Amino acid sequence: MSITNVVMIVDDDPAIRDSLSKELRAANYTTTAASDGDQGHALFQSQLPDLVLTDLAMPRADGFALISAIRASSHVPIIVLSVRGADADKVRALDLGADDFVTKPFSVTELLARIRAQLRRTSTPASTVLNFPDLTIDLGRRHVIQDGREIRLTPTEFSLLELLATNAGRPMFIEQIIARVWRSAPSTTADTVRVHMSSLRKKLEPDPSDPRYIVTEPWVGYRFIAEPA
Amino acid sequence: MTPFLRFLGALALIAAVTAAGSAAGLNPNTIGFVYLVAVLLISLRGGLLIGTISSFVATLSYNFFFFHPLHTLTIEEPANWFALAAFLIASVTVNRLVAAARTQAERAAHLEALRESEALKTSLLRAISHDLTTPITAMSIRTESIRRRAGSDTELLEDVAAIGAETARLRRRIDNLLAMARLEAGRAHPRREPSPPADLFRAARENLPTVPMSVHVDADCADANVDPSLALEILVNLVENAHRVSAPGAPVELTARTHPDDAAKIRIEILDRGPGLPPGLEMSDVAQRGLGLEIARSLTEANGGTLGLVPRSGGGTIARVDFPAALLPAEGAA
Repeated sequence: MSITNVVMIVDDDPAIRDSLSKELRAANYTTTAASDGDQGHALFQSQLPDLVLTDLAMPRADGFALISAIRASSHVPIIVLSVRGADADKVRALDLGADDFVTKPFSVTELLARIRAQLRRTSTPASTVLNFPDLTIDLGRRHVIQDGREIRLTPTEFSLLELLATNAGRPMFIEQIIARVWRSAPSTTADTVRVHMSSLRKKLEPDPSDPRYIVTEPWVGYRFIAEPA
Repeated sequence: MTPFLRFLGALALIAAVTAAGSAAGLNPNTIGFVYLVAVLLISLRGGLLIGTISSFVATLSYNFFFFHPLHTLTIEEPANWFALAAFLIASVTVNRLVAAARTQAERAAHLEALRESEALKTSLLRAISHDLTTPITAMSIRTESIRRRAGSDTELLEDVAAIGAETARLRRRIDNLLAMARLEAGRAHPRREPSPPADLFRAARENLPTVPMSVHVDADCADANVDPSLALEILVNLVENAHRVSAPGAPVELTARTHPDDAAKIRIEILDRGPGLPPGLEMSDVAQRGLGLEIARSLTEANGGTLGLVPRSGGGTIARVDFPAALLPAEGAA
């Protein structure tokens, strides 16, 4: 019997808690649930889950308070359940230290993919060759093969791809990208990132009208959307 | 209190000051200051007009009751002319200052009230969005759960697909109502940023998984400078409209390219092969084209764009959205 990951669900709505718990258990996770931020924080300290799923609008301590409280002591992945039209809340949650978000109503398939992406970060050993559907990225030799053809990238484009692909499935902030690829060089702006990202995407995507690998993440930055093969 | 009562109150106060001043035998210099205080109080309570009238009444009383010869409006000593003139100027100025301060305070209070009602609307809308979306989320999770366990029971799978489609439809209706409410509340302040059309199209497909779409983005098409979540709302509404009039299984086409006459804009088109526009139908005929179109139009305008419907050659309709472009700085600028 293999070890399972524990996911903590924090939502004030029992219908969401119950249905999510059931689906996550069906996907082989162990679940634990709380109905507000205070309860969630207490449960977090006693159970030390491997991942936290939290709603934002809750009575008593809300999701923002919970994220701050958890981040004071832990790097555990946190995924926020946000609602449409509350984009400012989503960005605020990410700023407070949440790792990702899904927008209600989300599909279970999408949520499971987001959970896998977060758990990969904490579990997979670093590999020098990354494999995605129709895409192989050799970090050692700095080679990219897409559907059998080699793609020639500039050093900046390769670094961008490396950063996004090693964080596959997770949103990357523009600031994080500038800090890592440009080492926070003072003249680097969001437009600099856009210029290089745009040319990387043109080279990488087999059909630029229908991106398979990299998409923009509104008000945040970019996300590598393919899952490791 | 009515203005008339306030005016009577002002006269009573001046009369009281006059009577008290005479009874106490105050000298003319002292009584001038007492009148000034009375005018200040009147101005604070009564406003500019009553305050100004009171200034003149006080000046006349001052002269009539305290300057020699008493109980006449004539003035013996020239110096008293200066005293009276100075009093009049001071009391009228006090009135104006009080009025200016009052207007400013009222404006500040009004702004504060506006801000509070904006904040209230914002939190109300967020709460409604949350409360309406939560049961729909629970419904769609349960639906997926049944689908997972249905195995190869085709009849059950069909029913589950129907429930899923209806749930999605309900969700989009609510999204539309909320978008409308946000516009009404003046809350749909677009937060514009460079948005690649390909990413907008992809998001539209994720939102309408059962609608067949074919997409094309020109290689040299710039990003749109729009609020991406509002742009998605626009596309979803227009694609849904196009899908509704299309033959079953016929794809809705989405294209994006640089505007043919203006390089600072991009043009997104949603094309269908439906029956086309009825003759004489205008964009403003909301009832005929549905709430979705009206929302798309309002949101497009909020994003600095324009939306038009044009007939498609060979039959069908083109919904044409022109958005401002977010041009890239020259390559290698970094």
